Amino acid sequence: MNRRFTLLWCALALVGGGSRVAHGAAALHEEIDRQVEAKLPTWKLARTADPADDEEFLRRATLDLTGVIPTAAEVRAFTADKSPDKRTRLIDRLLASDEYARHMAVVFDVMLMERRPDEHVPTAAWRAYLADSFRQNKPLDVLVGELLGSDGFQPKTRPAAKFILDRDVAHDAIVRDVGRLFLGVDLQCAQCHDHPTVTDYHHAHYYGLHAFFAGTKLFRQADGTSGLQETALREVTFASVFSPDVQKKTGPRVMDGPTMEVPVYKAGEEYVEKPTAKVRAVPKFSLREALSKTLPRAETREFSRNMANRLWAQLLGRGLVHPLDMHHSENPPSHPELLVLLADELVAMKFDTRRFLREVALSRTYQRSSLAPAGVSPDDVPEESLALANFKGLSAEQLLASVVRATGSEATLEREIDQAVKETLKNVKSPPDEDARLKARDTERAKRVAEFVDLFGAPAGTPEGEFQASLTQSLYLANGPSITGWLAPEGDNLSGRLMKLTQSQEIADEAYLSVLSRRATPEEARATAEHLERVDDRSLAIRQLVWSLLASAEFRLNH
Amino acid sequence: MKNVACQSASHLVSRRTLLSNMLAGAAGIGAAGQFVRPSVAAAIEAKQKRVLIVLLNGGLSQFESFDPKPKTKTGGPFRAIPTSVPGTHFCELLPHTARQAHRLAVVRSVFAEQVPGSHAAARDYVETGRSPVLGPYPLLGSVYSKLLAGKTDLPGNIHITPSRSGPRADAAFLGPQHASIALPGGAAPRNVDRPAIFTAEADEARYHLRDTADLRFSQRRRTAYTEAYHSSYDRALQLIRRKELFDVGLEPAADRDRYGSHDFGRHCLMARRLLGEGVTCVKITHSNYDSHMENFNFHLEQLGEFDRPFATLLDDLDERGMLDSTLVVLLTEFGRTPQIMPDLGRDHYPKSWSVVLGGCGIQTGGVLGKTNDDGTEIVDRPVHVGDMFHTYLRAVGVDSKATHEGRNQIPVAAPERAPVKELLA
Repeated sequence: MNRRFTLLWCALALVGGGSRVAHGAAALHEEIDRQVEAKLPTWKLARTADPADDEEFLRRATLDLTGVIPTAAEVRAFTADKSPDKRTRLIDRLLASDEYARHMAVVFDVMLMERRPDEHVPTAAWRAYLADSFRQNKPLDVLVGELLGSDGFQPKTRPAAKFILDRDVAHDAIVRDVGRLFLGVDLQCAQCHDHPTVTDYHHAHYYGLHAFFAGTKLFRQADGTSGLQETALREVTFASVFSPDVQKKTGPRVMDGPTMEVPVYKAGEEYVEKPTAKVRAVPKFSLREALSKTLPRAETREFSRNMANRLWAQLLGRGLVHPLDMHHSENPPSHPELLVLLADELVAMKFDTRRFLREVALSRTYQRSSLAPAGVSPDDVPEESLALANFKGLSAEQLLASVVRATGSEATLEREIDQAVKETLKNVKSPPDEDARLKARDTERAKRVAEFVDLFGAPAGTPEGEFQASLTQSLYLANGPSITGWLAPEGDNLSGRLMKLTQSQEIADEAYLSVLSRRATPEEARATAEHLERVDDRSLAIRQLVWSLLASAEFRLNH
Repeated sequence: MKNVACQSASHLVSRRTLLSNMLAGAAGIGAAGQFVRPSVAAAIEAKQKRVLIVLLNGGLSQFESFDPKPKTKTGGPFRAIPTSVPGTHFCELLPHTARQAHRLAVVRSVFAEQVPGSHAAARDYVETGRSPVLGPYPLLGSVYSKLLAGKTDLPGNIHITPSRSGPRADAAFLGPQHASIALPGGAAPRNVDRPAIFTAEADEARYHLRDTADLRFSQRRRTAYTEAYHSSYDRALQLIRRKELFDVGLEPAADRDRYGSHDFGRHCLMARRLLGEGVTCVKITHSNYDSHMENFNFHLEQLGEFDRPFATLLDDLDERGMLDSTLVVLLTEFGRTPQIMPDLGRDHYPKSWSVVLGGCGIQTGGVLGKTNDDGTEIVDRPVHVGDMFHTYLRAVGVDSKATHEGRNQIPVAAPERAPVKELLA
């Protein structure tokens, strides 16, 4: 208990400290590098890996910030650029792009909804809302406030209510996920009893959060629109499954923070209007609204720490606290001071996502190679040391977008979608309007993404975990009809372009630049030449070559 | 807790049968090795424990199966028949299974709390031993794949589904390598056929190119991910080369006749084939028992299909000396109401139902738990589905009180539940 008090006190003291940047200290990215490098002796490491070369860096940043590999032309242009600030300019260009907003929408959708099926708010509207939020760089505290506070009845913020509505307004799911995703604590096991292995997570923590949502329920308007209503409550009771007879009570409370003061109204006067079957229950004091203002703000240390850790993990491949939802004293951060700094800076930046990601991306730590220095065994360098770039598996969405881009199949994919739309609309009696056509296209596109998501995404309701490779995945990549189709030479797709080239060096370069975002090494060019020599059927040889690069670990991983 | 010795009652008998068959074969053919099919020999040698799960999908009626209540107002029209265990009766719809009763343990008092109305969520409950609102947790097959499957080239978790169905992410946090490989409608897994453009030779050539690329890439780089990735292609290629594993048509014609030509018969034969080859966990789903109307005709039809192949499979596993190392779990997501509805249906009943176990680690030949005369209440030894989940693991020597490695140290089974000692050998 004492230790927790001390930690809390330290945390509070630091909140008041303000921003390093504001105080004219070193830029955040420099401070990140200083702290990471100072920590190397902890793991008995003498040095870090070299900086990533231009090609490795370009691929990594493009994948992390826009969700797809760079084109061959982008690789050529970036490597030809001799200006010293080209990496900074690249980061700024990527962060300013519309692809960034759309990629962040996917990243946050997957993080927040964990691929649950749509219930009330369609994914398209939700992603559009998120993309718009990232396009205008809406501060993260404002965004999370909207997610918790929206009741679903205001058109502007209706999509934000997806977080609660599409968890079927199930209190257990909401409480658990508010804990995990916004506070970095997984209270799942604390739902029925104190956590069996994590001594910091208490049954009361779970119910303290639960109290904010216990009154929230689904309400359907006469026109069928669904949204939220709320019964006025002040506290909840709970009992451990191990001692079901001992009833306990708690008021609304975020972790070890103060219990929220709930104003007392006379019986019958708790609501704005007396609720009936037709009148939505709206309490004069909404606990959920109160939480939407209390949780996502600087004073909630768990919140800024969690968001900083999650944004960091998006670029570095793991959190300073890892797993991301296991912030507790027996799972300390790899770099405690750095996590404090990042959380402080995120607060000082007023939860500015772009600025935060920019600083992290500018760091040497982020720009390190995944190639170990000569004489160092890479498996002896712990991931948390950050001395070597960590691998990240491409997400289902990154993988699909990158396979399509690498094989130059954008046009083929559009044609396949058109064809499917035509088939679908053939059976519709009335002539389809533009709206129906667009909808059908969205559906068809979503089907193709779903094919990848089913295989490469985490199951619904679970976070995207570490990279994993299954038999079903490799069978799909090897023999699945989509990829086999995209390998066939056709017009200007990659195999088509390679068929028109005659020099094996040109073939190797075009294939490697398009798929692996780098030039072939002399050894690889030689192996390519031998392969083309050995296989008489050029079309077959090209497909084998392109597939072998697509199916390589180098492509499958963000390295 | 690992490697609890399996001492099923049929162990000695089956081993003796096998030995005498071998001797007979040796006398006839001249060499025992030629008689014993290589796969069976391998299975016996390995002593690898295996699990067969049969899921009766939709909610099997306990009244029309393992807890008959003839001549009561809830009992329905069918009789109870004696089984191979004196004093134990099954419903007359299960004449073949009744003759296997000595190889089985029947639990008539399984229950769960707050079982969701949805079949899928209720199935998750019985196959994870935890309320699905707490989940997702990995299903039983994925847990076996992770904790029971040794180093094998074969997938550890195969699910024979009644119809073509998409991949089911059933491994939760254990990861996709432990997700079930679906055999939709008993067919081979998806994408196991090489694309037409690649002959076997051309196909293997591209794997060779791929391997070379990986080898170059992994020089001076971390190996955990690259090795996992490499191994997934290795296993894919092995499966592509061995896709006859999924061709039940290669089983002897006489066996195909014994199992029957309908889907469930073929699926049981497929399960025998896969278990014999060393697959750790095979699950067969038999659909559909959701009899809100015409419960009795439904069960007559469904159990008519189920009964003989299931009994045949038990016979064959025993005959091949595999039953002592293969746990058999016969599951359903909930029971059906004692009350018979106006359309002669029975609705969902989560207050009590029956689960049947057999084989490895199970004390067979008995009945655990009891319901009252109308089957409305459990009157003796209620067993929670969470306790059953512990038991399924403990029977094959998996420590159900342990926690999963890595992420969050999640207990393997619900920590407030425990294995059912009376069921364990």
